[in-house]
Amino acid sequence: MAQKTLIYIVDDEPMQRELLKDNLEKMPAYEIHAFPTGEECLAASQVRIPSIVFLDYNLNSQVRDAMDGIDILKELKKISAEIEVVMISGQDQIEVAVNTMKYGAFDYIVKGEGAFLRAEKTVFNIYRYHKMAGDASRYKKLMIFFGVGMLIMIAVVVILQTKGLIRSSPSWY
Amino acid sequence: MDQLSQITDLSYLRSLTGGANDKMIKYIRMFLTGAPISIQQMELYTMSKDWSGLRQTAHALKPQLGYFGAKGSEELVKDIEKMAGEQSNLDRIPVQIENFKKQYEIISAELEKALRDLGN
Repeated sequence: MAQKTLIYIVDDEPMQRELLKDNLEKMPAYEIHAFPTGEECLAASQVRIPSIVFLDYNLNSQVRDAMDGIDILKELKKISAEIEVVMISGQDQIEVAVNTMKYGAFDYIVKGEGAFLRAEKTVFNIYRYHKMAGDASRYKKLMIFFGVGMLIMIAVVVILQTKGLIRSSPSWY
Repeated sequence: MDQLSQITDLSYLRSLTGGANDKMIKYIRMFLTGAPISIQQMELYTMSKDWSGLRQTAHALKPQLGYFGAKGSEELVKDIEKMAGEQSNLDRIPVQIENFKKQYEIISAELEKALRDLGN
């Protein structure tokens, strides 16, 4: 059986957390775990590095001195730059959420009725982005391989020509 | 209950859960457990003039009201959040919290009825 892609959700509000978790669990290829604080997510990420983290910006409604979303984002990127972080914010904090992109967030989602559909689409976008990045990397390697091959072939022809082992024009000329 | 005077509207939650009763019941129960704590916290933060705490609690409560279709109440809490965040019109905050408490009484009654209708 193929290994499931690991997704972590961090939200201090239980209902919001559960709604997002239930919604993403509809996608069978993903294993979802949810945490009420960023600190718990960081601890779990040290053990199993997730592919995607949905991270709320405000995380101190239950634990007043809890780290905020940006601090957690920075720590997650230290654990692995490959972790794709999707910031979640309220309507009034869109600017803050957009700013998180400069710290390496993949995208941001504004809480509200469209948020859960957007979350699913973002997971798909991340999958597509990584697939395209993988394809681009493979094409690049292939191009380098053919390029080197062509250079070797030209070098061999030039050497053989200078040694008079082959003629400069085909024999049927 | 008169359909027109309803504060809540569960149609969004119903579509989100695909009409799964167990999920609907779970979310309603979570809200009915968490919201009174949030209200209590908002009152305590107001009394202690902890505007940052009040803003944060109102901020966390606000989207939940939206999921239950209580748009008017969502706006009320948004107003509390804004006043606490900007530390403006502070004398209006206790009034708005009282207004929200009255609305919450209706919301909780409606959601309790919804729970019974859902067979819980």
